[in-house]
Amino acid sequence: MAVLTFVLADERYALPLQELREVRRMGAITPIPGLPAAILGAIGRHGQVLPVLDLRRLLRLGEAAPTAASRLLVVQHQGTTAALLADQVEDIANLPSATLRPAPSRPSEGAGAFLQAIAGEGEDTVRLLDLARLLEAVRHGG
Amino acid sequence: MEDEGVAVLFLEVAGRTFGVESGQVETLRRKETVYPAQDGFPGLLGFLPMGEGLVPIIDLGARLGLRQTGENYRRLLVVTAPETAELAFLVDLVDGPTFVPWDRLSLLPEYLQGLQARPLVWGMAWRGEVLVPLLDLGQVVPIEEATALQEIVRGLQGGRYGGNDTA
Repeated sequence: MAVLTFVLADERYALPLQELREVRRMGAITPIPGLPAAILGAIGRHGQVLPVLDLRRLLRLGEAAPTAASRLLVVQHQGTTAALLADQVEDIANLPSATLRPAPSRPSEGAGAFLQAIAGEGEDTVRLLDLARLLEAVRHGG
Repeated sequence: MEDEGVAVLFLEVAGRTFGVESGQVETLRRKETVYPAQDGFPGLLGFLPMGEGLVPIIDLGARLGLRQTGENYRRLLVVTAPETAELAFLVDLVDGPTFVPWDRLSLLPEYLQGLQARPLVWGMAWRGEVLVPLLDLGQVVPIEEATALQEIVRGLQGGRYGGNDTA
């Protein structure tokens, strides 16, 4: 499976490349009142307004101010397009199906709740996120 | 002209900019002496005498959950048109109205619409390269609260509020 790997709170995560539309530098994010805390605001992209989701907050990884390395991952799942804030983008990689292990358990919250699978060991561990589950979690209050 | 876009007033509140359809605004007032509010109604600052009546003044920043950035002596009152319930909102600055064509406007994405408890923000406008949320002032104060405010106003006007209760 082709994935984009990226870093959140010093851990490596991945999203399937087929769900990725673009990687963008952090620009101005317009906050919108009355939305769950996991929504940082909105950005404009090709005349379209996209919600920006705070992955750290969603995955309960602690808050951190964006840095020069921060990037927005523009993703699409079914009819929903959104931007996800990541600490740093690493690379495009191939995770052969044989190397993917199911997530050990699925707690109701935290990063574990959004894992689709895990690959690698130790420092090379890559956590493959379930985008559909992430978007759905925000719908239910983030 | 209207079918080609929307006339928008841009409001600055606690360092943030919001847009409202100019049709929702009846008048603008400089901050002036008001009758202070005497109870803990959320965001209620006081009452503005207008004509023969009183209009409740709401701190828009407080209602939007924004932290005030300090006293701003240019603060203005935006009085909404009666069809959205007559309320005055305290803001820091007003600019416009500016005609915004449809290709510089976007409805709020469906995904975000579904996340709002009330449809407070209905769309976004591009102002230069900056996106500005478009507020529905009629949604800032829920109808049940607006009704309660009108009751307070009736009490004030009848001398039954603020220690002048003659009932």
